Amino acid sequence: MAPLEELALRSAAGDESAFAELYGTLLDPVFRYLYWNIGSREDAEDLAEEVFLKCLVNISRYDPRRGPFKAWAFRIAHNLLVDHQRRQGRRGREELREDLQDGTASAPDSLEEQERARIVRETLEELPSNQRQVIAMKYFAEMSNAEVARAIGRSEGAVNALQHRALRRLGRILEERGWR
Amino acid sequence: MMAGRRSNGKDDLETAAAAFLAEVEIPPAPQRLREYGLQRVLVRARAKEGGKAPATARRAYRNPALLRHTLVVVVAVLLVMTLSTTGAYAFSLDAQPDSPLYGTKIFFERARVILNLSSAGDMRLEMDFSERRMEELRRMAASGKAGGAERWLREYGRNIEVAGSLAGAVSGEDAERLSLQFQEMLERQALMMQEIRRGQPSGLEEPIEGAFRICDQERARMRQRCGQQGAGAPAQEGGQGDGDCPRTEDSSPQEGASSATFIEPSGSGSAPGESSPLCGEGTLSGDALEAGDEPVEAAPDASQPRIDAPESEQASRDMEYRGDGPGKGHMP
Repeated sequence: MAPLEELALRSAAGDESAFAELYGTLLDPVFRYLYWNIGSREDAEDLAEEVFLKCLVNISRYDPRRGPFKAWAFRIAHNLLVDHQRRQGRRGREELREDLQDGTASAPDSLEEQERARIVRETLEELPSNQRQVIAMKYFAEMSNAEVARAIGRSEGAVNALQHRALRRLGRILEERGWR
Repeated sequence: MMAGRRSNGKDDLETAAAAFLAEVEIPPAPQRLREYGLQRVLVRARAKEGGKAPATARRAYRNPALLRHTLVVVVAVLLVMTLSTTGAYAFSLDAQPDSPLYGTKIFFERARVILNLSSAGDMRLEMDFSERRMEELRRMAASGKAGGAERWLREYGRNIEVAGSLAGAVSGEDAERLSLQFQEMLERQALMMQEIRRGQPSGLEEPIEGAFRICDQERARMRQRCGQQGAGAPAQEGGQGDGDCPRTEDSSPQEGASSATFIEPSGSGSAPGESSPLCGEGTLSGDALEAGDEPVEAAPDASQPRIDAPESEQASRDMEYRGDGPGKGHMP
C-alpha cells in the first residue's frame, strides 16, 4: 500500500501524527491547485483549510480499494472549489483576482520568470474552468491523469482530451508571443 | 501527409506548452498555513465531532442576527395570517348566498359556535345566525336575486335545528328565557316570511315555503316539549314542568290569538296533501289553527298542567320532524 493510503488508515484510527504527515504532504499541491483556480491567496488559504477539515472529518469513509488517497482529497478540493465558485456567482471563464494578475502572489526572480508567470496567468484566464482545473492538478499539484480523473469525476480519456486542448491553446499563445 | 504535419504541429504546441508549464514557478503554500493550519483543522474537527446535535441552537444563540431573522419571519407570518383572517371576516360579513364569500361567512359562524363552550351561548349564536338568514332573505327578495337560495335554506334549517336541539340542553336560569326568546323569534320569522312571500319574489317561493315549514315544525316541537314537561313533571310554582319553558304567552290562549294574525302552522296535525296558505291558496285558517294546535293552544288555563300530547303523538311528531313521518314534505 502506498504511504499516503497507510497514513489515511492510521488517521482514521485516530492517529493525529499520521494526519499531520498527510497534511504536510498534500498542503502544497492542494493550495496551488486552489490558488491557480481562484486567483486569491486568502481565499485559497481558507479553502485549503476547509479541504483538510473535511478530509479529517470524513477520513473514516475513505476506502483505499476505491482509489488513491490523493485523488480522494482532490475530489473534496474540487467540490469545495465548485461550491466556492458558485457562491461567488462565477461562471467557467471568470476573471482571476487582481493579486494573481499583478504578480504580487508569486515572487518570480528574473524578468523572464515574471514574463512567464504573466503569460501563464493570461492563458489560465482564457481557459474554461474544467481545463484550468486539469492543468492546475496536473502541473501545479503534480497529479497523474488517473488521479485527476478520479478527483474531478471524469474518465481518463476525458481528462486527456481536456489537457490536450488546454495545452494547445497555451502553445498557440506562446507561439504568438515568440516564446517557442 | 497533411494530417501528419498538422498532427505534428499540434504535438509540438503541446510539448512546448508542457515544457513551459514545467518551468513555471509555482508559489508554495504560505508559511502561516503550514504552521498553524493543521492545529486549526484539528481543533475545528474536534469541535465538529463534539457538538453535532445542538449545532443549530448554538448557531442561533451565537448569532443574534439569525435569532432576529427567525423572530421577524414568525411575527410576519402571524401578522399576515391575522390580517388575512380579519379581512376575510370583514369582507364576508355582508355576503349574500350567491356571493363567493358566503362560504367564508358560514365558516366563521360555525367557528364561533365551535369556540363557544356553553350550550346557552351556542343557542344564542344560532338564533342570531338565523336572524342573519332572515336578513339575507329580505335582501334577496328586495334585489330580486334568488341565486344561492337552496344553500340559504340549508343554512337556515341548520340554524333552527341546532338552536332547537340546544334548547333541551340548556339548563339553569337561561333555559326558560332562551326557550321563550326562541319561540318568539320563530314567530317573528314566520311573520317576516309571510310578508316577504306577499311581495311575490321570483324564484324564492320554494325556499320560503321550505323555511316556513322548518320554522313551523320547530315551533310545534317547542310547544309540544313545553306541554309535555308541564304534564309529565311535577307541578311547580307556575304549574310548569322543570322551568325549562316559558310560562306565559306561549301556552296561553292569547298567544294563539296573536298567532292568528299570520299563517298559523298546524304542525303534524295537517293532513297530507292539505294546501298551504303560503302557497297562495288560503288565508289564515281558523280550522287549521284549531286542528293543529288545539292540544297545545287551546288549553284553557296555562297554570293547569295539560295532557295534550300522548306519547304516541309525540313519537309521531318527532318522526315528522326528522323527516320520516307521515307529514313529510307537506306544508302546514
